[in-house]
Amino acid sequence: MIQWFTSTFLSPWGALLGLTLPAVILLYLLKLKRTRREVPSILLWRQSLEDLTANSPFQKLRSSPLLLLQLLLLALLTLAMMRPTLNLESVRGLDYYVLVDCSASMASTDVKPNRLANAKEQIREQIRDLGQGDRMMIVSFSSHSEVVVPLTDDRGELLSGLERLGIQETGTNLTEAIPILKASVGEETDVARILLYSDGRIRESEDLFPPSVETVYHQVGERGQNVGISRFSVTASPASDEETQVFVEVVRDGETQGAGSLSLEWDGNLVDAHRFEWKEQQTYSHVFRTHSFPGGLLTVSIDTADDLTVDDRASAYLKTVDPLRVQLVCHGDSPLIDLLRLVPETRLEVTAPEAFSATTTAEVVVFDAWSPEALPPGPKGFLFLGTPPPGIEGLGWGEEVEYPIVLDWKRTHPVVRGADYRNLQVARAFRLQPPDMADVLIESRETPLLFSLEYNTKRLVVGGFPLLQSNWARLYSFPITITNAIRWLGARGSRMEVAPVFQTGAPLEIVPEKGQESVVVRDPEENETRIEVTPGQRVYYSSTQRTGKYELGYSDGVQESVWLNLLDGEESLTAPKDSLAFGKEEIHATEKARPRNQEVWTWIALVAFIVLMAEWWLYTKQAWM
Amino acid sequence: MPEATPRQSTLLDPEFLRKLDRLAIVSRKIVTGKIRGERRSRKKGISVDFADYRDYARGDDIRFVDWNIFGRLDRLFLKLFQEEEDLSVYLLVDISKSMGFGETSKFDCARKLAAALGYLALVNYDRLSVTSFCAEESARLAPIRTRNQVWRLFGYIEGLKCTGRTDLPQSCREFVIRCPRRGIVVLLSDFMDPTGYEEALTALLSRRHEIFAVHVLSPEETEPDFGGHLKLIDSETGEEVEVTLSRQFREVYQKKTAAYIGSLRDYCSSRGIYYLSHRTDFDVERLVLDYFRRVGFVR
Repeated sequence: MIQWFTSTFLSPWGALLGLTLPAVILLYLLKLKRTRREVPSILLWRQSLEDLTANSPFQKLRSSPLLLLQLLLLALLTLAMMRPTLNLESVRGLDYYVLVDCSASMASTDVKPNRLANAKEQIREQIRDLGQGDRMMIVSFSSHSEVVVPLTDDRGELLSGLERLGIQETGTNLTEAIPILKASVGEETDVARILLYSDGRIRESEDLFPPSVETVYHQVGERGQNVGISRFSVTASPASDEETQVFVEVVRDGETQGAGSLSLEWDGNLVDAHRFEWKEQQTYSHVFRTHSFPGGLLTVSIDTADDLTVDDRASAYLKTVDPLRVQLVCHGDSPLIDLLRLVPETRLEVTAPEAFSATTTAEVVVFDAWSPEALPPGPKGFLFLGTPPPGIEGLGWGEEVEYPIVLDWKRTHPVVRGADYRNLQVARAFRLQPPDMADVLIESRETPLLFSLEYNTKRLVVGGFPLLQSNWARLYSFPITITNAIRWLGARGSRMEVAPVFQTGAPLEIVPEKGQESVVVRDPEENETRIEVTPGQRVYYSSTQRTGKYELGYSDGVQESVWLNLLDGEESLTAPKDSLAFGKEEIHATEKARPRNQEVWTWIALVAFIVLMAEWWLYTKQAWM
Repeated sequence: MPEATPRQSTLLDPEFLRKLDRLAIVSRKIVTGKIRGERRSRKKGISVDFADYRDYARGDDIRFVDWNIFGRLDRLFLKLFQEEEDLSVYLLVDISKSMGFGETSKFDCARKLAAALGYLALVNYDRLSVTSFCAEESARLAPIRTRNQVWRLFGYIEGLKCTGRTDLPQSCREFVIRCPRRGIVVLLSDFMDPTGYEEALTALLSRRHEIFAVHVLSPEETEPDFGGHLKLIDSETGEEVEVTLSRQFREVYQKKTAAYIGSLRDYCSSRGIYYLSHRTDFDVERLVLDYFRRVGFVR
């Protein structure tokens, strides 16, 4: 019933004017409460009254047909104000395919309250103006496209679907919408009209809308006054493990001038700030160098007043450092056992050679005087001491040499940094021929004693002498070198990303671990989604349209947080485009101010009602027989 | 002169009565009485007041021949004397319900005025007749003369009550039929008759009466002190009229009242009728002693 009402009447609120009908009847029912007063004679009173009536500009409304006419008039006015429509099935009108841009840039406030609201208002007008037999379909697009309301002539459904549209804080991708449109339009291209409501900040597509369909681009937005963060990354410094570097790139619209400032915060505490001046460039990059943080949220924000706020901030949760899993493969007793137990942030597992498995989950494996047949695929790094690594092309492992004398070592390398090898005495060492890519770390006159190698994404450190054939285990350089080597091999070095950065619109990859059967994702609006998972099988969470904190709660109690950012330079450049390019085709925006007739008759009807009220008022003020 | 005020009247106080003793109603026309009275008649007749001479004609009473003139002129002249006749005074008092209104009711005012004029008539040996009238009834105090009839007059007037509707033409027609003798007619009424006053006054004029029309009005009528949304009820007919007494309407009503009074006055003056408008807030004593004397109705 309500649906019929809203679809039949364009202005259902006009029905409120119907309240005036009982008001008019009431006016006729109302009688003045007159005081009775006896007078000697009404002779002169009656004559006076007749005189007054004869001279009065008004006349008593005597006939009840007039009342009926008034009621009819008001009823018609009421009906007219509701703007009724006739739904004739047989009439075939046009099919409007409305594409609404809901991406982040549509949240710009250059038109109040924002661009999307402005677009919705235009579409609302379009729905109201639908003619007989016209139908409409509403498709929203941002990073993904969605059919909001399928092709229908039901205005109520269209209006309620339109109300559901909200800002998606993601980039814009129209490629999903085009197949939807093509499938919907089909062969009926002659009656189809595509109405695109957007600010034009769309990644250009080679594909075009269905050919020979009239496409109207309604440009939304007035100006481009925005500064936004387009790139953001947090990495460890290559120079030092103790340093973190935060890279920020800022883009601006052409109209934006003046200075800006970037601030870096860790868990809400200001760590660093940087002020910059816009000159000729459209982008500005800056690297914050700071010490490492033990977890927490790292945020970069721009202090600027602009039309779009969602891109003024970028955040990432810093990874917490898990103990490095180290496996030592050795025969029985080894001085490495005690040493590796003391290396901080490591978890040691000691394995006999016969028990070693190639499917080891360790990140670093230390082989002491024993080598497997092939390098296991899992670990990131390997330390071979007195035994050759298998399968390394170009590696020469020759006969033993006695008493090689240490000549030099590569002091700048992280593995040997801080150590002194002058007192190192080796009884017997193997003659080594390191591969070309290798870095010789300790060199003797006869042969390299220690070298490092990065080989097929793996890191290796190879020592050319058995520990028991040297005095190394008793020297200071031994724990320093082994500890450095474990860190370097465990990829806790320069290229490590200390805080992964996520973007809205992209699905979140969830890798459940053993014992985790489900995960609950809580989005920034506190909506929770429960996902059943199987350990080891990746699942993806795709409702990532909002920027902010997403919390992942696994069934085994593990909690994880990620922060989703816009980081889309195209969205941050909010200046509306006058034309859109689709391959060779170009679509120009329609006139911004579409001339339309402002309806004024509703005001006239209101004035008529006021006149009616005034008439009654005059009636009560004047005397009538 | 016999004692006239042995009892106290509620209508007029003794002091006023004493003042009235010195006054008399004046008729500007010579009217005919049935018996000889104290009024000088236009007719020549028998009295002590010489009027004129005329030639003797056969058949004249030779007792009135002036023999002194005959001795000097040798012609017979007859002495003519002013004949004195009594005066008929008719008081017509409107007793319709409309007369009962006003802070000092119009009816009380009319009764006092009637009592005062009646008293004047009686103390001057005029022939007085009082007729009270309304549409439903018409009563009459039979003609009385002489001062000793004063209490009868007062008793009659005090016994009058406001009742019925106004029907001036009918009442006046009945009056002229009953009282054909010419005299002074004092009509005391508010003239609030939907049928009009013209026919009534014409009927009185047909008998060549000397008519005094006393229009009794209350201030509440001329300047109504009420307002608002009213349903006015006619005291005589019970008819109703709904009015909203606004400033504009009040002005229209006052103009209408003034016009009504003015038209009555004009009508009277154009027909030789003495018109007098009397508001109830105006003192009756002053009216009689000052105003009536000034206009020559009494002296």
